[in-house]
Amino acid sequence: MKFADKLIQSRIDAGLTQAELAKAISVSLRTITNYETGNRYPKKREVYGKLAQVLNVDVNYLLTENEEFITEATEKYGSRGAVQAQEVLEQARALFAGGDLSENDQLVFLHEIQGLYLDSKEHAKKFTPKKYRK
Amino acid sequence: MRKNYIFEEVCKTIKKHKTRNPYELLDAVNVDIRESYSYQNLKGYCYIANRSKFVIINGLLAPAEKRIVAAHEAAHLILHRDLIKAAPLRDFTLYDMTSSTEYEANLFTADFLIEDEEINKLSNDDDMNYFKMCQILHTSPDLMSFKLFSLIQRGHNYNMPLPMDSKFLGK
Repeated sequence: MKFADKLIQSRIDAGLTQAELAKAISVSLRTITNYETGNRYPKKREVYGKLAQVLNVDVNYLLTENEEFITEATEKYGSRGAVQAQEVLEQARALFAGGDLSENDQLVFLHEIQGLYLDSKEHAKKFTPKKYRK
Repeated sequence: MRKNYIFEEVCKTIKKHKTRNPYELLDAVNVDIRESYSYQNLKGYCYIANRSKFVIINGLLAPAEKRIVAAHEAAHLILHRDLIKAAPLRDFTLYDMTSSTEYEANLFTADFLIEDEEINKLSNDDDMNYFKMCQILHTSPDLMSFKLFSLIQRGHNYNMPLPMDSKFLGK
């Protein structure tokens, strides 16, 4: 999901209008409109923080795009999980750059590979020494 | 490189795991085999992450073709393990093929699925033609040409009605 879509979704969930949200984080209505159409992204990191606070969501959720997967990997497996998850996605994209896969197959593949990665992590638990198990 | 190294590898594999069934072979080397029903034309791929091996096969294919895809992916896992690990995905769907790895995998598949003996027996039959033979052995004509190539390399006397095409699974 793109930042714009996430913002719209969270704003509606929080029961705010664009104008109300604009006021709450002290930016102009036009700015919010631009965010939600995907024309602009917040320049300052603080804005993400404010948005997250007002909308009651996680900052990382707003900061990352299309990557609930990475958020999930980070939550479960820490920073190494995040790096690996990033790699998985990058490799998948590199593969698509070859251009032989149809759009539909690309989406399915991307989705599937994320599942496989998480599964492999689950399998790999048996290799973790006991003292490191949580 | 040795001339028939793929064939030797196939013999070793069959001897070790005592099977010519690609699914049993995948099981024996601890591969998680899955079927996926959402692909339009991707036939399958293999993937290694965190010491787990996966083979995904397109569930919409005909059983005979699935068998070929399974053997093909098994060939990748056995022959090109280090390559898959280094770059888990790239070039490893049946689509994005680099010639030498696909060539090796297809040769492996052909030698693994089809026995020399069977070809020998069938080719002695007079009213047998190439495509009928493929049908009986549940293989595709493309795969058969790999098998014949392998037999010719090992000094058998056959001729090849079809040229070899490493990309045949991509069609």
